[in-house]
Amino acid sequence: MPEPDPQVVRAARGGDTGAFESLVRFYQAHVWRLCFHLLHDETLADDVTQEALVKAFRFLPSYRGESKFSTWLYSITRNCALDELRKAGRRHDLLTQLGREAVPTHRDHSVRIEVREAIAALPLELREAVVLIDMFGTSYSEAAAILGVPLGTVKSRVHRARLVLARWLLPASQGSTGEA
Amino acid sequence: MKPELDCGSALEDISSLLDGELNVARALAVRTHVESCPKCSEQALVLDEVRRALRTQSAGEVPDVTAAVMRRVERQSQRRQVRGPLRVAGVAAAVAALLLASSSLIGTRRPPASARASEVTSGVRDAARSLDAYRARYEIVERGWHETVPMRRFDAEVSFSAPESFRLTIRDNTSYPDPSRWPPNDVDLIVNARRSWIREPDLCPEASLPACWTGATEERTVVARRPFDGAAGLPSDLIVPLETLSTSELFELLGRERVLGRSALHVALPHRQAVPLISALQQGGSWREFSPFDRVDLWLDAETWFPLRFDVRRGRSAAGQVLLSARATSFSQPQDFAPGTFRAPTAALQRSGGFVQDSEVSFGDVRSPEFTAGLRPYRAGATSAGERILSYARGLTWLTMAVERSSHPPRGYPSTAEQVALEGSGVAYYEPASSDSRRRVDLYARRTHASLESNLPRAVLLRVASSLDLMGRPLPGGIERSGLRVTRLGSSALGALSFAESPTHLPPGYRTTSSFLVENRRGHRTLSVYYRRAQAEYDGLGIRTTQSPSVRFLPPSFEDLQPVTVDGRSGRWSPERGEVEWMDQGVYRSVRAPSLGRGAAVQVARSLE
Repeated sequence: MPEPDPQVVRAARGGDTGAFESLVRFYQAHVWRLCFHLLHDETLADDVTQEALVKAFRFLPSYRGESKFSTWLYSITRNCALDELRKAGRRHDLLTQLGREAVPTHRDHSVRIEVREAIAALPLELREAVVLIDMFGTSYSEAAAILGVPLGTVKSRVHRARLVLARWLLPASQGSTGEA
Repeated sequence: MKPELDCGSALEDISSLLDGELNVARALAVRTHVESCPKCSEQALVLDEVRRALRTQSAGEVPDVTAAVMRRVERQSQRRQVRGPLRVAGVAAAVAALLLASSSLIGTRRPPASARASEVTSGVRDAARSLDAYRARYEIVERGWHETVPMRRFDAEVSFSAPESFRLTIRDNTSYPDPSRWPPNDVDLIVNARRSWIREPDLCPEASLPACWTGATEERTVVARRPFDGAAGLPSDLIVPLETLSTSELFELLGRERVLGRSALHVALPHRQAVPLISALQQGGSWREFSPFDRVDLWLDAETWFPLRFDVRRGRSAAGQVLLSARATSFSQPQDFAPGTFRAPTAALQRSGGFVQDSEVSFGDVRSPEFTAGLRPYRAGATSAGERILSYARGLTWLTMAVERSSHPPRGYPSTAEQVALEGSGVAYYEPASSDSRRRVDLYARRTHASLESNLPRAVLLRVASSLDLMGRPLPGGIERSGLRVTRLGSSALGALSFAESPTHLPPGYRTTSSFLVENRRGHRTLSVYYRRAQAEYDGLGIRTTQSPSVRFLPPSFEDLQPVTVDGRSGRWSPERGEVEWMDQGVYRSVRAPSLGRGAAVQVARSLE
């Protein structure tokens, strides 16, 4: 993930909306995709993307450059998305789901399902880890900072997520070996 | 060398190995094991394939939200909400609101005054329509901006040439303790039909002043402006307080007094109603914040309706400390302005509004509105995003219509807008103005989305919408997306929901504007109902109740929450969201009222039945 010019970030921090706009243009697609993968809803993703970017502008004065800008922005985005899930009462749903094995037993392994659909079916904890690592290319330590969990947790969640996805995405002969 | 790892230990690290997240020694050990172990090596292949499948996912089509985000950011920026330690300011404002919210606002319901208050409203409207040029000078005193600088003094000059040329100059005459270290709050704003330009001190959080100030100033230019772009932030209420006094129910007329040697009408209203006036001075630079319930006294020239003087006082009382005071020292309606008065310089930081003027722009089969409330055609053109725009203006009054091709239902489903039946033009969706956005009406016709924005009053704007030759179609009562079903409910449908309760108490003027039920695949339901005042300006969200029998506990939150009691049940108040939440016999309920404060929100919450 390329990082923005520190001068642009500094100008935006000082309230320069022109500089902030260039950050919006640069990051909006990433922010939207993160929202979409967490919410599975395009309309909600549109709203939360806006919310997250407007919040980022508000909170910019508190960004001290201690983490990468993208890491900081993704944390805000994730918090906004979780707020949205919570508001709609769906977070409860997901939290309940987390306690169980998430693999749908009825999956027909002869059918390759869409990657997107498979990601959507992952429990939130596994989903956000694998989305950050594999779709956003963040490092484990960046993902840990965004998710607010220890590095070891990121590591095991990404691994578990890929094992589950292997079972869903790959033909039976291959994917079935995925669960050790 | 014999691999020392067993499969269990190696397997757990394969993902980390593929991601290059193992240290050299561990990576070597795992790789050595994998290469010599058929089971682990197949596992590695599988995981790598998944990993590559994820990493090569095409991004798909992603919407461009830049314009929408920047509109909100510009509003925020102009109001300088970015300058301070926001969280603290937010909590402080909420606490202030709490202290003040328990009693009603400054007597807004005195019937004898309302007849004459409506004369003020119509007088201001007429003045706004007939004004072609204006220039005034003000002296401003502000208290409590910074603990080291208890008082600041400014001179301000505002110029206006209809329909959209503005110039605002603010010069800081404060005696700072160490002038070289404090940013003079000098602000320049110039707006004309093509571009706008602002210059202000390089801002940093006030709490960190003077240490954080770099000594620099900031300049920004917007080119290719859309007509009336940023109009909610233009200093037009400083000229005639059209938005502030748009409806007679929201201010109190106190009588006729002499101010600055002239006959003046004295009105009072809470700060949250006077935002368009007060923020007109705060287009740039750094200013103190006010509570929504701080009292604003405004004296209007009885002849011209220009504001002669206005004061913001702490609290609701007329005896509260004056926090900000602005007095006109001169005003006139000049025939001409000096050349270059409205010339906007080019700053290094520049952005484009993407508008290309074209008076012949084709609107396809869509005709312009038949009724434009006496406003005259002004600029027309198109944006790079494919929107075609017409605008109308007269004096300070303006109207824009944007038309775009769109699918049905539209991508941006206007979930909080009020559905309004238009005479002869079907159905429209109305949103009041807020500090972020302008008053607007949307029509979704076949393949066409038309959007009207204006500073005309609600009823007039709806009349304009009715005169369009478009048949606005109701958005589907429900839409289904990604496993969620969103249904727009009529008031009768609410009674059928066993868990739904309605407030028996709402602050004066509020009524239901829209209700939504969201259901997920598992049948979990969440009901949201919005309440707003029909005439309200700057009301934003209004009041929203959310109820769900599917949420079994108050969701975890990282915010600073305060405990509250609702009918003996313990709940919590979020100052950041302006929301009270509680569990009521297995049903989650919340009341969100960011512009009202905690006391009023809890009062509404307690009245649910």
